[in-house]
Amino acid sequence: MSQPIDGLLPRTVAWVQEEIGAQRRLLENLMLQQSALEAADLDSLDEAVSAARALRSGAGARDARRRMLLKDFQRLWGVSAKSMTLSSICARLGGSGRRLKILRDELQELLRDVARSGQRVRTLARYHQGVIREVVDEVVTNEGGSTERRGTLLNAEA
Amino acid sequence: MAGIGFNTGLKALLGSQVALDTVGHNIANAGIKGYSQQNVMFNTSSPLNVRGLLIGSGVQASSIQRSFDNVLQTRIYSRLGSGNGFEARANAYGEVESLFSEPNGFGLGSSMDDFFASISELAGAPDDPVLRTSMSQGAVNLTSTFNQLASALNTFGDDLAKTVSGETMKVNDLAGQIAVLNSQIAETEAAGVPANDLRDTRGVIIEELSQLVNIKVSENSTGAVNVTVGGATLVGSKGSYSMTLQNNNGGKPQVLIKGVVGAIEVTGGSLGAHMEMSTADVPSINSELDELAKEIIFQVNKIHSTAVPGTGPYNLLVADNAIADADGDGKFEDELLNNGSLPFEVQSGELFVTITEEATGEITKHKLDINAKKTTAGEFAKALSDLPHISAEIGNLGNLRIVSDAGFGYDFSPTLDANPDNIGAFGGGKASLGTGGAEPFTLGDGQTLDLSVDVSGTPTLVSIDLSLADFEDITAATAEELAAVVNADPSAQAVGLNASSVNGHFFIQSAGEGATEGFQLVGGTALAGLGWSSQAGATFNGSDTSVKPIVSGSYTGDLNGVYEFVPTGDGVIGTTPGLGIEVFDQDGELVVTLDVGEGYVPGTELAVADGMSVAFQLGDVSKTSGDYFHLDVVADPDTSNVLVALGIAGMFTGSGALDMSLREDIELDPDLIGAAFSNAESDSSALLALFDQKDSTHSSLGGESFDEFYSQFIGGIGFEASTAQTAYSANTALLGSLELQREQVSGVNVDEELIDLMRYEQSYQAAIQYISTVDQLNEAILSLI
Repeated sequence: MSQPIDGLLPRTVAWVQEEIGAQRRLLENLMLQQSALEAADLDSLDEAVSAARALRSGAGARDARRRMLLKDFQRLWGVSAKSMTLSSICARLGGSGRRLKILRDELQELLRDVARSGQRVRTLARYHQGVIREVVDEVVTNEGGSTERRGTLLNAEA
Repeated sequence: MAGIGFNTGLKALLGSQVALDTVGHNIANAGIKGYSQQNVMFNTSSPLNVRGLLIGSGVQASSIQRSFDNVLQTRIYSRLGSGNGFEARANAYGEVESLFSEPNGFGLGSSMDDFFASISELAGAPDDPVLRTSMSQGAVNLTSTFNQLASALNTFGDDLAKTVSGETMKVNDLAGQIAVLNSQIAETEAAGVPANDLRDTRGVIIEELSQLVNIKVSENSTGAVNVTVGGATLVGSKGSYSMTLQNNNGGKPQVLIKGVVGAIEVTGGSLGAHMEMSTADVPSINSELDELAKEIIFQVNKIHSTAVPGTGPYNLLVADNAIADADGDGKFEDELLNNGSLPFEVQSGELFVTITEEATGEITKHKLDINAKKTTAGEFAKALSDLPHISAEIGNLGNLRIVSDAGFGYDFSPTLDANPDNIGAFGGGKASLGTGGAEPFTLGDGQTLDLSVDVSGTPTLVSIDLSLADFEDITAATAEELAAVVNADPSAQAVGLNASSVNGHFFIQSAGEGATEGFQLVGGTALAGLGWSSQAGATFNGSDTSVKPIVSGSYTGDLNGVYEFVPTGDGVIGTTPGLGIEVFDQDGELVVTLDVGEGYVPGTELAVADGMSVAFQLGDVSKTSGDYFHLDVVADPDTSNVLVALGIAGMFTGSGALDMSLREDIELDPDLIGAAFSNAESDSSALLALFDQKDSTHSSLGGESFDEFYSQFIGGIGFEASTAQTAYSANTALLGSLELQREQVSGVNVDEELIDLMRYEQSYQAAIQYISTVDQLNEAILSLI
């Protein structure tokens, strides 16, 4: 029993570490996007979105490795892969799974941060979109603008 | 994640809203004149450190700035002023040019050509009534054209004055608006808010103002602008100051600004241009047109007034121009001819008056001296009245009126006196003794002149006493004074002795003619003074023949003068060998000696000089007896210009382009046109002299002829119009360049702004899609956690 788990555990730890690194880079990227949106800096936003797309290039390989690990655990323990989680793996491993549990907690936290950050970026982007649409509507439906409308700029700044 | 909360997001969203609103504002105002592109300036809060990551705490829009270049705008104000000024000037000169255009040959140039052409045609047949009517019509056309042009220029000047008045009101209106905006801007910016749109509105108004006048604009620390015109404040910190128009002492409008002493110089903008056109250019054009009309009136009238009309010498003339009662004493007679009330100046000179006896055609010429500084209208009228057979008076309105006696006429022509020896002092039939020399004579009080005349075979002594009282200065007695003394002496009258003055020579003659007439110069103490000492005791007899010199031809000299004829000795014309007649000019210079001795056929014309000839009949002439006659030669019968000044016998009335007109009686009867300088039939000498004026140069026109002056006049207007148009074009190009620069600084490119919006939209959409992808990917991982 020990041999198989001895081989699976390092692979699992390696995958979690790899995922933590990827999520950290993703979080950094989202922070950049958020900053770009907050600063209304379109160039930085475009740059961050392009960089984020590059980050996605390694996601497929990591996902394949995750699926392989889950199948191996299923064969080892005879448990359905769908019911297998990092928490249950750590619980079965007991003391030998302590490091994996730390990494799992870190990954979980990172995923939550990424989710929150993504939500903020999405909210900001959608808000910006809404404003643009309002502006376009304003221009199209009220070409030339009214004095009153032009006057709001000063108020907006205030 | 503390610190990246709701507050940060709100700042970001507001900043973004402001930025996007600004883009929208730029697009919305892209077509608005004077709008300056606005940009949002952001500053950022200090970043937060979260798990080793530096996370921004948000941004906020700190200010919205106008893209604006003050120096560039100042140049634009200047160019706008110049450009509008050039445009206004070009348009104004364009209108003046159109007034002087020659549509279908009906302009002033054509009218002048037609007038002189009609003179030329009439000169070929001066008695032709059709051609006289044609010339009359040509003169009417010429005067009408001058009248119309002057009237049109006056109307144009009035329109310009109205435009200037309207533009002044507009300046005040704009200045008031700027003052109001100044207050609003200062109030807004005092609260720390840049009043961008108000500044743009003010900029537009300042631009409009700069198109009207030359302005200088400076901004103070409150954001208010100070606007000056010609160094005077139009808009200041306390508001605007009204601009008004007021005529100066010369009647020309000048610009005043409330609170500033003295007139303001307005040189730029349409107001400046219209002011300049109204006060300088149009009056100058009018003045030049007037100058041309006045010179034509003067030159034509000067010739025409000394011509003889087709109807013969005048019997009645009334001056067109009245002399003014300048001193207000109710009298015209005491006014100097040159008191400034006449349209043309009277100068010191002489006027020759020719009086013609209509029945015989015999003429006498008389010269009147006129002193510009002394001769009064009354003295002039009296001098005319003193001439035989005419009388003159000043009418109730100040117009001189000259009337001839019945059977006589008068004119002012330069015609030569064909019979210059009226009294027979040169070989005439009367017994005659002349002084040989001319006055003055040095005589003394109590001197006597003793003569003896046979009366029925009995010698009768005539002793004439000279008294101090009879002379102004007896030591410089004149022939006129002496003759008056003799003619007043009863004893001289009793024996039929007459005395005369002939051009300063003193003559005593018998009353009758013929060889039986005679008198003896007995003696007397006055003989020495008269140069007759050597003649004492001599007897002087009449003759049955008379030399009677006859003058022919026309004087062609340039100056008025006198030719004096004196025999070289005593003898008989055509008989005495070596007998000659010396001719001297007014300077005493010998002009020619005419050979009338043996071989001369009496009656033969002998050339004297300057187009004149003289013929002598058979008879005796005597140097010893002081035979003498003179001939006035006249190039200009009126060197004083008194006829033109008073408007006597001229062709035109009036004194300028506006009131110039053909004399009404000439228009009704073209026979009154003076075609000749003599009474001779078919003489067109005056018409030829008039026609010569077409190409003659005139000092008052700067040494140019009428045609040359008019050509330069028209050319000058064209040059000004062209110059203004060229300057306007050049300025427009420069202004365009400046506005392009301003557009680059301040302008809004709608396409670019819309592209930006689309780019924003796409970028935000990409970010949203990416987040969705991440969410999907992480969902699988989260299920594994």
